[in-house]
Amino acid sequence: MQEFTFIIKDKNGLHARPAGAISSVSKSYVSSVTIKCGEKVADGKRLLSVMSLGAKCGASLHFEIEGKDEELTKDALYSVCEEKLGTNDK
Amino acid sequence: MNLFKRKQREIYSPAQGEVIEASQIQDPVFSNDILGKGFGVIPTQGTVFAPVNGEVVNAFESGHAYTILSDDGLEILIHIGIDTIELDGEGFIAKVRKGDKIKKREIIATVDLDLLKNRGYDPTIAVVVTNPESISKMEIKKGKVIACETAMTYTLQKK
Repeated sequence: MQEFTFIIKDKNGLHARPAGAISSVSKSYVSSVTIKCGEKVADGKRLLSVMSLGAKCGASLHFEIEGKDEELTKDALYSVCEEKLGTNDK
Repeated sequence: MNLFKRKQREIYSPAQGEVIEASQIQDPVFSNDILGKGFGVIPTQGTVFAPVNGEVVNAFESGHAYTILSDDGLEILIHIGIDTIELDGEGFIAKVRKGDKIKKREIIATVDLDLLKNRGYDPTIAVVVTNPESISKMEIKKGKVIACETAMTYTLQKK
């Protein structure tokens, strides 16, 4: 299993746009993606599930990735988090 | 033989206005089908209705986005306006909460279209099926609609 934690810096939090990016990246790999945020747990491949985390700026997302291509999936997800949630400028 | 013909189902327009193809929504996340498949409505009235029967999975605190699990298993995102998360709730009043059962024609939110216009926001409502693998034969009924008229038809994909 691969895992990483990411702290959201975008002031709008995990809204539709970054959630969409995370779920579409997750869907393009075979590994399972589980995202934990506090007490909540989401299936990274399902947009609604990711959005339901309701993660805000400052919240920490913990990704757990398991499967054949877990390293590639982790790298891709980390880049998408950096790109979509890693800064606070529009 | 009609034995294998699948039942045609409908998603209603959440508002009065004009139904457009998703590709015409002025936001690449919707026009490129990144979140799923669906359509847009350019609203002329600020009352937003449930487009299907189902349950509210999540209602964003900011009032601009709702996710619904329909009774037939579709995961639907209703996103009111482009980039309206930036308004942080201003102009939106949510009428439903997470876990509420909703029926077509029930009001889920109201939006102050004048406020959006004055602040320079595009009010287009995006209705997106975020698990598009579960539907087929999707068709958008483009053009002027009154709220709760059919905006899209589809059949369920064979499991």
